[in-house]
Amino acid sequence: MDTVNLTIDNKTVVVKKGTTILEAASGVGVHVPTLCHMKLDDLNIENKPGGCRICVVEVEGRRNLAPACCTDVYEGMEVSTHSVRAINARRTVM
Amino acid sequence: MTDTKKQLRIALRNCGLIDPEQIEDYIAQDGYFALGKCLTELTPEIVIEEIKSSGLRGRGGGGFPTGLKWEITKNVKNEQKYVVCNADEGDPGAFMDRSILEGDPHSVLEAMAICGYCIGANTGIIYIRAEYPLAIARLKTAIKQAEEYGLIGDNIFDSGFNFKIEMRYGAGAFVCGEETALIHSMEGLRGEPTVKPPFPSVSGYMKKPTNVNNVETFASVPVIINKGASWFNKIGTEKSKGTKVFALAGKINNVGLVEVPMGTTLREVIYEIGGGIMNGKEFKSVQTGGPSGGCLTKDFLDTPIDYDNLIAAGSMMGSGGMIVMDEDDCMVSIAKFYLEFTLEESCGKCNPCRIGNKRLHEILTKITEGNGTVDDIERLKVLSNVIKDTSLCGLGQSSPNPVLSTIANFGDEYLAHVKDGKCPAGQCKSLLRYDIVEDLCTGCTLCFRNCPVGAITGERRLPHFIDQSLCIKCGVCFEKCKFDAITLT
Ligand SMILES: Cc1cc2nc3c(=O)[nH]c(=O)nc-3n(C[C@H](O)[C@H](O)[C@H](O)COP(=O)(O)O)c2cc1C
Ligand code: SF4
Ligand code: SF4
Ligand code: FES
Repeated sequence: MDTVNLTIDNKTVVVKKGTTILEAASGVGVHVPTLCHMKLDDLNIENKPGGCRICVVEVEGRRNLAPACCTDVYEGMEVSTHSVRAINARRTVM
Repeated sequence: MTDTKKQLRIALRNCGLIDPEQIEDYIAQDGYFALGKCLTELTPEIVIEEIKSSGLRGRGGGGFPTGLKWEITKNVKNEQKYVVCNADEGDPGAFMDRSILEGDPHSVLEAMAICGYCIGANTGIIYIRAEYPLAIARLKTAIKQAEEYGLIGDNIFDSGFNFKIEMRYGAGAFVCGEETALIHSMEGLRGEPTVKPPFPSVSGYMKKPTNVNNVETFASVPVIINKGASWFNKIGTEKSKGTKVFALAGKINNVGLVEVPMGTTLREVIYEIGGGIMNGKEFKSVQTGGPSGGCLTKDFLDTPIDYDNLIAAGSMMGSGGMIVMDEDDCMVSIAKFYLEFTLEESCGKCNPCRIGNKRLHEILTKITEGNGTVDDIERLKVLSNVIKDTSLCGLGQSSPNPVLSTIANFGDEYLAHVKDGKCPAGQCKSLLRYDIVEDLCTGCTLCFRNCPVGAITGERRLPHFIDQSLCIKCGVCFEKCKFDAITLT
């Protein structure tokens, strides 16, 4: 199975390829707020239109902020979920 | 156009010269020669290499290297792939793509077939807005003629390569020009963008690898094959090769389409080709890139036009709209105008674009109505940056550009609105003030009788007055007064 190494708020995380930032973050106990993302595990339904933009996080080297709920992780990714830029953006989006 | 020396026609090479409804005319101009050469002499790899080394970049706005896109799509393994031509052309005032499709439809068909050969697709689809009936009719004729000649269809040039071209009609929404929205619209879904990746090259139309290119991009391809990449990449600047078509509009003497080599300066386009500003007025600003672009000042007139320079200047190439403004244009109102367009065209899927742009528009309206504060300017900036940072697609990510660039380049004008309550260009009605100069007024009552809201009072032969609280700034009194007794400040 392919795995990916990345850091979230300076914590090293190893996850399966194809995992989203949101899933990887919750795996290490980092909470990213969401609104339009809906996952009903029991029913195996997942809906991620990526519309509300509440879940945006900062990714090193990326021009704009990334929606955690529908951005897949990649090798060597550096994510900060609570940078000033991300928090300001989320507050304004709210 | 007066001075054609500065112009160089590649994408528009045949427009106006050949009869677009006669395939023989196109063939006489070496038409379908490039396709024949590719199919019979060159491998897809060689053709892609040629396009890559020509330095051709997408003319639809993004400026992505075309050869690289073809290569990526080629390398995705799939039985079924598609070539899509983006002829949505949603920028207000732009008609470059329409002119190519109406004047030289075969050049696009030929290039789509070449692209199909390279990436391994046997179907091409042209997505065109239904508002372009003539272009649609000419394309249909062109497809039919090309099929009759065996230049499209099965076993083209006996090479075993099959390629057919279909058409899809859009309702002319700006956001449907964004490639993921375009594909959804083609599939019969709502024209809303989705998150990239996956890029269309990997999963596009019907989830199959799809190569999307703009009309003008395609129109440049056959020439590159015929004349060679080394000919093409001598034209232009280091990172932007070839030519670009612009739709010149606004307060300029010669409006219309121009095609110039990359690296031509804005001054050359505006003064030498465009013939300068109308009525001998003062140049104020040039807007490039449509609703996603920015307004540049005269300090940028000598900037050579290419993708990277325009971005560095705070604007962008976009699809080639170029609107010239003179001293009578109010930059706050211009920013507001573009936002109105964005608001109309935002698909509403994501929050920052749908609501954020609405807020920006409200603040701008407040400023143009004379109720703005200095803090509002700061709020515009903060909000603009967040919208850019968080929007889902290119529409939202670029929509605040007109606001940010006008604040950066014409900050004084914003300040004049909020601090002094004045619109320097005299465009914002609410900030105007009509007054009667007592010494000049003869009391003829003309203005009194013409004022539509009864804001003017006064006795015959005595000076009249305007009640500012009632005045709606219609300017009727100003026009009517025969004694120049009314001032406008
Ligand atoms: C809001 C928006 C509108 C767009 N409109 C158009 C358009 O009208 N025509 C076009 O060719 N590309 C348009 N694009 C760019 C396309 O998404 C895509 O990048 C382009 O068609 C790719 O072709 P190219 O590489 O040949 O430029 C638009 C992009 C965005 C974000
Ligand atoms: S940025 Fe605007 S146009 Fe693009 S997806 Fe969001 S709401 Fe729709
Ligand atoms: S039209 Fe002019 S001169 Fe006549 S009453 Fe009005 S301001 Fe005075
Ligand atoms: S939770 Fe709505 S965009 Fe991610």
